[in-house]
Amino acid sequence: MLALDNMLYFARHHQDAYIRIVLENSSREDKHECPFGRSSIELTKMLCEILKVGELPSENCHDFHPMFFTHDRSFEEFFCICIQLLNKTWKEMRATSEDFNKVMQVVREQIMRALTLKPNSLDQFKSRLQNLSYTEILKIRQSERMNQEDFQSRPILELREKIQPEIMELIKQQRLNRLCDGTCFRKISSRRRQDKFWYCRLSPNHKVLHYGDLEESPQGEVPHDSLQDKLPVADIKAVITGKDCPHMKEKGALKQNKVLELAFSVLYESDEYLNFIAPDKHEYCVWTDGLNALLGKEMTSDYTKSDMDTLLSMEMKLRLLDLENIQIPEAPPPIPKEPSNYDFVYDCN
Amino acid sequence: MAFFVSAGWFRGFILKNPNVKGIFPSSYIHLKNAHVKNKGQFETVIPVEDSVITEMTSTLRDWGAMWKQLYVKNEGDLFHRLWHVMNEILDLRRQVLVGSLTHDRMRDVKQHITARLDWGNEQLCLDLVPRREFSMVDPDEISVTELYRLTIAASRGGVSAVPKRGEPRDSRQLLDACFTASSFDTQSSQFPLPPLTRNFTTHFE
Repeated sequence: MLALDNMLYFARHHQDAYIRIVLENSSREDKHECPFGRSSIELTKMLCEILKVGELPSENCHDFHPMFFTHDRSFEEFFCICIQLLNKTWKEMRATSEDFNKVMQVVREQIMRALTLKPNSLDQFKSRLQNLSYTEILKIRQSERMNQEDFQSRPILELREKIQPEIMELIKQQRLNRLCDGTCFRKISSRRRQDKFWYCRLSPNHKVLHYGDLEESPQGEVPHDSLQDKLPVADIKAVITGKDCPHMKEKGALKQNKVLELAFSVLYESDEYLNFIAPDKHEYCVWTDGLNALLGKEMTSDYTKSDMDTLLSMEMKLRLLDLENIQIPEAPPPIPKEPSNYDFVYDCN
Repeated sequence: MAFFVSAGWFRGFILKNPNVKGIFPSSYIHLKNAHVKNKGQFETVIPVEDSVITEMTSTLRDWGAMWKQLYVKNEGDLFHRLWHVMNEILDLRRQVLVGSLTHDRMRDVKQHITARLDWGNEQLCLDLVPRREFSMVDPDEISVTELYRLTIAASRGGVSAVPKRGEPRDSRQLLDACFTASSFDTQSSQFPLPPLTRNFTTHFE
């Protein structure tokens, strides 16, 4: 009955809007018309639910909406605003009558969100709703989905820990593959003459570092044979970085910060050094990680962390694909007693 | 997993390792409705959900393994692009699963999904999936000529010719022959035959 009252109020007091809605929807041929009668009834029901009409006032509740005090027939006005919202949202969603419930869900969300801001008047409420179009709701839902991925529960963390070593192994393989491809480095000469190039690469069996001078920057792969010098990996004692490198400690060496960050050295035979200056940060990270991996040490560069993050989170998502929308309990459920017999029967029906 | 029920325990196996069977406490198991085809020892179980979801799930898993290999082999460019596409598909999949999309929007989303799946499959040199109304067709359920027509339509829709996957053994050769035949009526003035046959020879078993 209340719904009919509302519809009547709407028709009488907002005649233009009412006529527009009814005409719009009755002349649509393509099944996308919004059913006025049904939506009014459902909407009234929903508004009563939202506003808890018919329930006893709660002693502890501090919510009240100033806008309902601004108008004599505020509930009916509220209905009018909402029915127009429903019609607008219906069009935005391009809904058909099968999608009725989905539209109602979206409208409910729009109304709830507008109400939480406690508008002072019905006009304010109306303008808030204008900012909550269907596209807005979609954006809000998408950002909620993104945030849903902040997995912190215990079983998730345990799974992460379990997968981590596998991923670390992948990163190590990638680094070593890169070292096997090799990189061209610049020699910075203290006499500031023209920079020379040299190339260094790891042998496929990971046992030897081949390196040698080059006349000019190489266009493609540089084969092992063309590199004159060798350094067995087994002879490497340590990897030094930054300002501890011997070539950074030299008096005439370029001491700009940029170069310091890209410098690393390999210590072999107790006091011999092979000095590198990486062309960029990425290469620096790849080489220091790779050399550390060869020495059996941990890879600690920034790129390792970010690669680990990317790989691990994707792996987690893929493993949890089947668990979408299923609640994972915090603690493992208790294991029941063993079954009395192991005769399991398969029901073929 | 296949289920055999008894007193608080389920007997079955993990999909990754179907030969090892064991028992699982029922409190650890969440049951999902499914269609069972071909009951008995060789049954296939397909969960009750939109086929596009099943396709996304299995494609994402396939891609996952290849994506990690892209990383190890240092194919940085494709690795990143695929990462973006996979994330996109994960999000779209979630949208479909939540179930609050209207019919029109669902159609748009499915179109978007299939475009991405096709792109990824092409980039990874996986097979072209023939579709009808954005769902994978079951090659057992349609005729060979219908399959051929759908494949041509899909391959002309921007995806370059790539070999077939998962087709039933008997119709595969016929389809391959049809495919090479179709190369005569493409618009290209040169004979496209050599590249097509090169792709196909690797797949004849």
